[in-house]
Parts: sequence; structure tokens; C-alpha cells
Amino acid sequence: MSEKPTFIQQMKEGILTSNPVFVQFLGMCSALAVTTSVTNAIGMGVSFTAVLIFSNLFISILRHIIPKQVRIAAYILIISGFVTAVELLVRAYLPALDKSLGLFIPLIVVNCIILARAEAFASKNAPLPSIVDGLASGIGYTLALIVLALVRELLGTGILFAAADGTGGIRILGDWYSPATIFIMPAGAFLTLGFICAAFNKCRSLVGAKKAKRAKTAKEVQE
Amino acid sequence: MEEKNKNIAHTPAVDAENAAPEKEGETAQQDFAFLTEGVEPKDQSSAAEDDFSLLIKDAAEKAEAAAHGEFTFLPEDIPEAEEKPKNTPAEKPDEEPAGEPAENTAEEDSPSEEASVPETPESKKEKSVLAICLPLILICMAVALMLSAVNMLTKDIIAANAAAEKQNAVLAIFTDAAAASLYEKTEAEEIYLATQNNELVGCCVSLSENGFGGAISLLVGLDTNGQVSGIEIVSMAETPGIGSKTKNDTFLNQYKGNEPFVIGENIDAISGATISSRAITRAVNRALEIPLDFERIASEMGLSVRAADESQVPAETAPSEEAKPAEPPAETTAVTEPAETTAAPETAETTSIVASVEPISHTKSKNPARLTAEETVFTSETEPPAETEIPAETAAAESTAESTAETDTEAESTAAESTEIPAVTETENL
Repeated sequence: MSEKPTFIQQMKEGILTSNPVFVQFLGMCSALAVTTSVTNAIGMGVSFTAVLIFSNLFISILRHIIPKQVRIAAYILIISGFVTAVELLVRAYLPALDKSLGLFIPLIVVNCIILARAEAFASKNAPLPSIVDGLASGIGYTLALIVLALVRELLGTGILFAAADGTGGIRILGDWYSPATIFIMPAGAFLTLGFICAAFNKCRSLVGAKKAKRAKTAKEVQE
Repeated sequence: MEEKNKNIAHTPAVDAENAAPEKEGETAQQDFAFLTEGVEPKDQSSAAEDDFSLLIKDAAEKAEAAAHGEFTFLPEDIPEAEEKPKNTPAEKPDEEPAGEPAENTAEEDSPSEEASVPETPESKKEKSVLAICLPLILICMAVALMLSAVNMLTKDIIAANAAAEKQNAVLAIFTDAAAASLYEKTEAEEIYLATQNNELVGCCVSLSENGFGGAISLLVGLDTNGQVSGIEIVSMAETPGIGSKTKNDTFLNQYKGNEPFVIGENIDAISGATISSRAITRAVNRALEIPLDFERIASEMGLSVRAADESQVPAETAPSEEAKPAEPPAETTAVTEPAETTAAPETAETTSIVASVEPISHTKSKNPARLTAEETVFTSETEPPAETEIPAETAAAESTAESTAETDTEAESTAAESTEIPAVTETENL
């Protein structure tokens, strides 16, 4: 525990073993709300990762100055400052993205993942590892969102990669498919999330069991 | 075993109460007698072998020592331990629970120890409120500074983007217009004029209604006849695949003409998207209710008015009456085309023109209260207003001649639907 995790280890942790959505069950509200289409999911994931990296960086830099009694207030200040800045910059320089994502960017403030990473990691580690941690968690979150959105959009509309306003996209399932609109609605979001979490954790436990078996046989061979 | 069980069942609180009333000096000892209570009746020699009883004995000894202010049994590297009596030991998990009751009684001993305790910089009680708040205030200020810098950087660009978007939306409705400009802006709506070659082609009303997923912001294009010529949805947050279908042309193309739109009568809602459909219908009806005197607007802005595309005008009479005393032509037109007034009864309920551009009087009128004043040449092309409801105040203000002509035709056909009727009859006598 005292040895610092390497870059690869941190990435693996953020994406697989401690995936913020499927394993830690954090950031669920935005994960459920945004995944009605894959483009939304990608956009949200990218802006989220940007905010996470910057907030981790600055909280890590300021970690010795922030008194622990008011640390949550300080973290929220820094996080919402960055979210607002990102929102303004996107609205000014990427108006097309703003049209698609407009409502979801302010939602990043209420994303528990950022606060969790700040509290658990950034406030106790140097800036560089904090950046890597932010990157890892952000990528894990984005991948989780993309998987969710793929299922929901495909089964819910039969079209993939539609623009956020509902137009365009590639029709994967032809006209014979009558879309199960429930997947676009909140109920479908929960269903999809539940099943995917179950599958993900099952895989994890299988991999873990295999590893344990291998370690045991290796030990036996050694003895 | 039973004694042990009895011992476990006792809580310190219960036993402290049950202990006999003590003198002060003996309080501590008597308080902790319960800890060894259950153990003693047993054979003393065997008591030592029992793990649990050993633990209890140990705890009792330590408690007594603590009661006397001796904390030597605590590990040495925790400086705060000596201040324990004063601090609420929320963060000291290594403290034995039995030590806690000793706290209160040991408080008298603590002041003497306090002076010798080195104060650590981390200890809570030493940090003043200012020391805690100052970093927070500084962070607040830094974040505010950063945000205001970003805002300064992006404010103008965002405003320009928004204006350009609106412009593009207006031009999307009036495809032959070259420019769009903001004419009027009230709290509820904004009015844009679409112009080309110094001609007023039409105007767009930008307004918003609450749909299922929030506000739907849309532009309703009105040509110079006051007919809806197109709708452009600027932003909406309706359910994708359901409410978002209201953006489709097949739905929006239903809104043509100037009758009030009613779902079930002249509008087919999208199934499963009732609220979204209703919101858009409400918005379009609201836009139709806004009194727009194109003639007046055009003269204000130094433009001429382009004749609206006739093909868009539905079979009923197109509203074409003006109100300003300065413009006499309409009356003559109305008089010269009496033949067309027969169309009036059919369209009695749907057409009405407001003779002035005062916005306040029209919210009650059932019919859209647009006003389009056309030049003489133009009016001859259009059918006259078969029935026109002239609001009281405007009727009185208008030149009587024209009013008489129109109210005559109107009086026959208009049912008593509008609150304006008394005014109408009044003008008749003029």
C-alpha cells in the first residue's frame, strides 16, 4: 500500500478494477441521463475527463493549504469553477458541441466521481500522480458511458451515432425492427446499467478466480 | 459462566447508576467495581486463566489509573492523549472504552497537566476560525477571478453566436430574405424582421413554451398577411424519439394559415408526445395573437412591404385591414368588394383583425389579432375582411367612415363571441 502505483497500474485500476460506474457505482445520475445517444456519451465523457484532470491537479497543488475542516467546501469551489469555465469556453468556441451537450455540462458538478477522487486521491498525493488518476478515472467513466449508450441507442432507436438533436446517424437495425423505446427512457437506463454491471462484475470475479488459481499453482510449484 | 453473562449484560451506565452513592473521592473506584464484580465470586486462582476476565481486570485497573489522572498506560507517541480529558476523543480509536467514563471525573485533574502538554499545531482547538476560513476565502477569490477572466474573454463571442443563430433561424424560415434584424424585444417574446432589398418580407416571433422536458424555444414565421409561414425550433429538450418528433417537418408543416390551431381539429399531435405537441400549438397560437401592423413597422424602419405569397393564404379571407387614420385605402377596398363579404359567414369564427397595434386589448379575442395594412394596390388583390372585430378603443379612434363600412358587414355575420361586440354596435352608429 505504501508503494506508489505505476502509471499502468493506475490506468488499469481506473478503467477496469475500480471502474467508477460499474464497480464503484459513482456518477450514476449523469451516466443514466446522458447515454441516450453515443455522441452525447462521448462528448460528456471528454468534458468530464477534462474537468476531472484539472480539478485533481489544482486540489493536489493546494492540498497543504486547504484546512481539513473546510476541505469539501474548497473542493466544490474549485470543481464548480472549472465546470463553469469549461461551459463558457465550449459555448464560445465550440457552439456545435454546446448545442448537443448544452444541458449536460453543468451536470458535471454533481458528478460524485470528481469529489470522490479529490477526497480519496488528489488531496493526499503529488500533482503528477493525481493527473494520472484523473485521466484513468475519466477514461473509465467515458468507456462505461459509451458501452451504456451503445446498448441503449441501438435497442432504443436502431440508429447509432445520431447527433444530439436526434437527426442523422447510421441505421443499424433496419425497418423490420420496431424500436423498444423503453431503452431511451429512464427505466431502460436502469435496466441496462444493472445488466451491464452484473456482466462486468461477473467477468471480474472470473478473472480474479483464474488469477488466484494460477498464483496458487505457481506457489505449489515453487514448494 | 452465568456471572460472566451477567457481567456482559451490564452496561456501564446501568451499573454506575446502581452503584451505591459515593463520597467524592471514592466515586471512581466504586464506579468501576462492576467490572470486576462478576469475576470475583469465581475462584480467584482460576480467574486469572480466563482470557475474558483478564481483559476485564486489565480494563478496570486502567480505568482506575485514569481516574487518578495517570495515563502512563497509553502509548507515548500520541501527544493529544494527555489532553484527553478536555478533548472529545472522536479521533482516538486506541482509547479503551472503559477510559471514557473516567473522563468526567478526571477533568479536575487535567488543568494541572495542560500546562505541561506541548501544543501541537494540528490540534483542533488551537486553530482559530480565521485560520480555517482564510484559505477558503482566498480560494473563493481566486476562482472568482478566474471565472470573470473567462467570462470577459467569451462574453462577446457567446452573444455574437446567439445572435447569429437567431439570424440563421429566421433566414431558414424566410428563404428568400437576405437579412434579419431584431425589431422588438419584450419579456415574453422577440420579434425579428426579415428583409430583402429594403422590403419587409415577414417577421418572426421568437418565444418559448414549457414542453415535457423543459422550455421549447421556437421561431414562428409570419408573412405580411399575418399567416404562419414556417416554424423553426431553436431549442428543445424533449424525449428523443418521442417528443423530439415534433421537430419533424411533417408535424410542423401542419401549422399554416392564421386560424387558431387546436389539436384534434386542425392539428394532429404526435402520439405519445401530447405535451410536446400541445406546447408547440400553444406557442404558435400565442405568436398569432400578437398584433403586428406590418405597414406601420415597415414605415418605421423605412422599408416597403412585400406582398405575401397568395398561395399560402387559405380560402378564408385574409385579414387586411389597417387602423391608422392616416391610411384611408382600406375602407375603399372594403366598400368596393362587397361581393366577397358573403364569404364572411363561413369564416366568422376564424378571422378578425385588430384595427390597431395596441397589444393589450387582444388577449381575449378568440381570433388572431394581427393586423396587416396594405397599400392600395395590394389591398385590391386580397379579400376584404368579411368580419372584423374592432376593439372598443381602437374603433373609437379610427376614422368613422371605414369603420362603418366594415362593421356593417361584420354585424350580420359575427356572432356574439367576442367581448368587443358592444363596441362594434357603438361604432355602427357613428
